[in-house]
Parts: sequence; C-alpha cells; structure tokens
Amino acid sequence: MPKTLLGKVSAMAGIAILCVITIGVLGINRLDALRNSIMESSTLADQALQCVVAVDRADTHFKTQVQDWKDILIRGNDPELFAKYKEQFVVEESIVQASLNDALPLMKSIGLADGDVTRLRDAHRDLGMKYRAALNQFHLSDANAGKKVDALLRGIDRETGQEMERVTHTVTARAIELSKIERARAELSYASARDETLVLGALGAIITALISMLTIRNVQNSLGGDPAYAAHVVRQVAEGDLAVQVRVRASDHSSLLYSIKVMAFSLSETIRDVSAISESIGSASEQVSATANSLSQTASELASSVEQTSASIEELAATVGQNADNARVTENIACKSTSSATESGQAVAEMVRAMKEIASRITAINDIANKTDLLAINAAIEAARAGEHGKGFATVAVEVRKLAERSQKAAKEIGDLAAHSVGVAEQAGTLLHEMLPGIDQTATLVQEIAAASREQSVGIDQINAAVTQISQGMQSSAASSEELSATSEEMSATAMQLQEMMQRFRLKGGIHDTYAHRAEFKSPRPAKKKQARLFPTVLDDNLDEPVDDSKFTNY
Amino acid sequence: MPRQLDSAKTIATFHCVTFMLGEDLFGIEIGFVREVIEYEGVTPVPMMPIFVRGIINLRGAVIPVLDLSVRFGRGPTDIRPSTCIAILSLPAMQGGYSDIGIMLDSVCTVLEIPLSDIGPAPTLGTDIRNDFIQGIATVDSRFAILLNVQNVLSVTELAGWAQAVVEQHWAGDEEQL
Repeated sequence: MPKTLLGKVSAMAGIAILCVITIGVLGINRLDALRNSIMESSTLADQALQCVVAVDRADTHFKTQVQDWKDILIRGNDPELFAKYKEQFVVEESIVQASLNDALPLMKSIGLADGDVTRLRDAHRDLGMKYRAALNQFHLSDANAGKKVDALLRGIDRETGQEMERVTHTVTARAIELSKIERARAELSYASARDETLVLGALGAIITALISMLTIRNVQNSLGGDPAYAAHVVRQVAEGDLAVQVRVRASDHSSLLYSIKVMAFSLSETIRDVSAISESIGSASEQVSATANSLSQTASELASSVEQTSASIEELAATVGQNADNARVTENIACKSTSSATESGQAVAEMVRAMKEIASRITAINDIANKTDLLAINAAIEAARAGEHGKGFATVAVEVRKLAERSQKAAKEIGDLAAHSVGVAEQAGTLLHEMLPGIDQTATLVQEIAAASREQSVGIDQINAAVTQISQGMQSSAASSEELSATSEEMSATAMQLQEMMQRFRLKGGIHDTYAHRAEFKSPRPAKKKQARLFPTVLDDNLDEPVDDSKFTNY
Repeated sequence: MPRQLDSAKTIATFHCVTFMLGEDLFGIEIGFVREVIEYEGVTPVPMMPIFVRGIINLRGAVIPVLDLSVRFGRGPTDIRPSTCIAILSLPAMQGGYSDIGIMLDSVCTVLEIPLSDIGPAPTLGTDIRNDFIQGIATVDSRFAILLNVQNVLSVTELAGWAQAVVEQHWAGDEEQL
C-alpha cells in the first residue's frame, strides 16, 4: 500500500475505475445481447410486416384486377378503353404475381407453411390464363360481348378471392402473434438485463462507498480533522492567532493539524523570542544611538583639539625650519672656521719654521761674534807679545772685542727673542692644533644638528600630514557616528515596528501554561528524536526556572 | 783707557788672559799664551794620565790638550759652545819651548792688573794646590785666581804622571797575565 495520500487516493480511484470499467463492460455486453435480440425481433417483425404487406397488396391488386376485368367487360367495346383496361388488367396481374412471389420466401421466415401461397399463386396464374382465354371470345363489335364473356367466367374469381383473404388473414394473425412473442421475449431480456445491471450497480456502489470511506479516512488521518476545520485553524493562524486551540486526537502525532498545532506553538515561542529580542534590540539601538552621539561629540572635540595641535605643529615646523636654516649657516661658518684654523695652523707652523731659521742665522751671527771675540783676544795677545809696539793694535783689538761682545749680546737677545717667539708660536700652533679637532667636532655636530633639523622638519611634515589625516579621520568619524546615531535611531524605530508587528500575533497567555503545553508535545513519543528538535534546547533549559513575566507584558 | 795706559806705564802690572773654568775666574800670564782657538774636538790618546784629554793638530804641530779641571782634582770639563783651547808655550827642559793646550770653559778678556791689586795665595778657601796659584786678584769685585803655569803644567811632573800611568798599566797587565 503506498504511503502518501496521493498514492492512496490514486490506488483507490484506480480500484473504483476498474470497478466502473468492469461494470461498464458487463453492461455493454448485456446491451449488446439485448440489441441482438431486439434486432432479431425487429427483423422478424419486419419480415412479418413485409409478408403481411405483400399478401395484402396481392389481395388489393387482385381486387383491382377483377375490377379491371369487369371494366373490360362493361366498356370493352370501345377499343381504346379495351386496350387501356386490358393493359391495366395485365399490370395488376403482374403486381399480384410479384407480391405473392415476394411473400413466398417470407412465409418460411415467419414460421408459416408456404404451401398456401404457392397454391394461391398457381391458382391466380390459372385464373389469369382463364381470363385471357375468355377474352379471346370478346369481340369489339359485339355489343353483348361482355355479357357473353362474363357468362363464361362468372364466379370464377370467388374462390381465389376467398383464398386470398384467408391467406391474408393467416399472415396477419401470424404477424400479430409474432409480435406478441417478441414483445414477451423483449420483456424477458429487459428484466434479465435490469437485474444484472442492478446487481452490478449495487456492487459498484458498495465498492465505491468502501473506497470513498477509505479515502476519507486517509485524508482525515492526514489532515487530523475535517478539511474545513483545518482550513479554519490555518486561517486563524494566518490571521496571527497563535493561541488557537487545535483539536486533535490523543493518538495523533503525524497529521497536518497536529503539525499546525506544533507549528503554532513553535511560532509563538519564536515570536516571543523575536519580540524579546526586538525589545532588546530597541534598547540596544537606543544605547548605540546615545553612544554614537557622545562619540560624535567626542570626535568633534577631538577634531578641534587635533586642529589646534596641527596649528601648534605648523608653528613648530616653522621653528624647526628656522633651526635647520641656522644650523646650515652655522655649519657653513664652522666649515670656514675649520679651514681658517687649518690655514692658521699652517701659518703658525711656517712662522715657527721662519723663527727657527732666524735662530739658526742668529747662531751663525753668534758664531761669527764668538770668532771675532776670539780673534780680538788673540790680537790682544799678539799685541801684548809685541810689547810697546803693539799698544795701538791692542786698543783696536779691545774695540773689536767690544764690538764682538755687542754683536754677541745682540745676537743673544735676538736669539732669546726668536726662541721665545718660537715657543709662543709653537704654543699657538699647539693651541690651534688642539682647537682643530674641536672645530671639526663642532662642524660635525653642527652638520648633525642641521641633518637632525632637516629630519625633524621632515618628521614634522609627516606629523603634520598625519595630524591632517587624523583631523580628517576625526571629522569623518564624527560624521560616521552621526550617521550611526541616525541608523541606530532607524533601527530603534524598526525594532518598534517589529514589536508592533509581533503584537499582531495572539499568543497563549501564561508562560507556565506554555511550558506545560510543550510537555504535552514532548511526552508521548520520547523515542522520536525528530520531535525534540522542534523546540530550541535553550528553552528546555529554562523549563523549570522562574520567568520574568514583565518581559512578556506586551503579549 | 788712555788714562789707564798712562798709569800702566808708571805702575807695574800683571798682564794676563782671564778665563772661566767651572765657576771660577782664572788668569794666566799673557807671556805664556800663544793663542786661543775654538774647541773643535780632540783625538784621545791611550795610556795617558786622565788629565790629558787628547791631542790636536795645530797647523801641522801635534799638541797635547790638558784638562785643568781634572788637574785641579775636579770632574772633567764639560764641552760647551764657548769651550776654547788656549795654546801655551812653556819652556822645555831641553831648552826651547813646548806647546801645550789647555781646555777653558770660556775665555774672558786680556787684562793688565796692577800688582797692588794682587794678593798672596790663601792657605785655605780653595781646593787647588797652593803651589799652582801665583796670587789672587780682584777683578770687578770678583776673585780671579792667577795660575802659576809652570807649576800647574810642570812638564816633569806631567812626565812622572805619564810614567806612573804606563807602569801601572803594565803592572795591571802583568797581574792579569
């Protein structure tokens, strides 16, 4: 047996259709038989009627023939009329013969002996022969020819006529009888067909009723109740009445109505949650709005602070730029000082060299003076040895000695001065030499300061750019937070709308009632895990906890 | 000056060459001094008394140079720019003269000192032997020791010294052998 309703109903409809087809086939068979019977009857009746008609026509035309005969006899002196009536007579005679010939095969069909008709035909032919033979006696010129011929054949037609009438009567009677018989047979056929049809109809009705009952039961089992009731419940649910009481059988755990009941419960739980969530979303969005507002304010304040900072940094940048320029100038000066000091050192060294040369020259002078002194002494000695003659020479020697001494003294003074100058110059050189590294260091430091100032300048430019970016960021952040505020207000409104929409749903009153109600779903089939999945586990955990009713005041 | 010359004519004088040796001012009678030359180094001579500094070549003549400081029992004379050698002509034992150089720290001047200004050699106050000193003169408020050159540079004594040294040397050698 198929599981689905469609399958079930289809199977049942199939069975019903089979039954109907069987009944139809049987009925058609019956009707066929009936039709055959009726056709048979009607053929028989037809034949009977044809036979009757043929016999009757033969009778009628025989009478017309006899009449024509009499017309010939009476008015046959006129040749024109004679020919006319004779022709009519022949025609009538042939019609009678043909009619009797027609009737002959039909007689057997309708169950009568054809002997009577054969005899009648033969008799009529003989009669015709007799008439013709008699007519040969008829003379047109004889006025009493008719009477003479008549006298020859008077009463000859009476027997044939009587026979004709008798046959007609027999045939008619037979036809009537046949009709009666066929009617009776038709009645019988009808009764049998009616009985069979009744039986088949009753069977069909019973099967259809059974199938209908099964179908209805199936549908009812699937729906869990009357479709109209189901429609009513669904309409109520559709209108938002989730508190609708759905009547289902205690054992029903699979029908549509049961599912609708579960759905309504589940929906109401969901809507409860949705409502709570929308409420919390509303409050949260209000908080977000407040936060966004304060954020916006803070961002604006920050933006103004950042602008102040930016201004300060620009001043700082100017100062640092000036510092950098000063450092560059100082650097140049220091470089010049270094070169000047180096040149000074070289000059001093040259001076020292010159002084030393002077000193060496002075030594030469001193040497010369010493030698002169010595020469003067030797001269004095020579003068002394020369005695009285050397007196004048001695005086010259003394003068020369004095000059030499003065030269010595001057040379010594110059030498002292030169030595002193050399010392001073060397000291100056040393000092300059000592100064050089200092100046170099100063120049290096100043260069470093200049470089540092340039880097500072670059760094401050970067800071300035960063601060500008921060300022822009702050402004956009302020704008964004205002947008956020607006959005959260919109969200709050949306949450309110959602709450209003949720209020459209009518939920079951008490929360405990709801949970008790849920137990009703849970208990019957603990084995079926599918059932348990219908309900969120979170709610199961809360089953025994007291619930804050204030959260649900809106419902 | 002319006045002094005038006075020199009348008054007996000690005509001398003054020089510095160490810290002291000395004078030598000018008659013994032939000339004064610059010190240009000496060639040391082995096996000579320690006061013989060496020999020099003076215009082809080999002249021994004595260190008076050593002769006076002091340390050897330091060589300075002003160091000179005074060439003295001393009467030799065989007659004639022998030239001897003496090292001076510096030569001062040629003086004629009145004999009245010359005192006798002191018995104490100087470490120079008395027989070397001819007298003490005061020159420019300073004492000048006037040397008795013949004693100071007694050739005999010097020769004795030399002999002693040679003997000592050989003796040392023998002892060593």
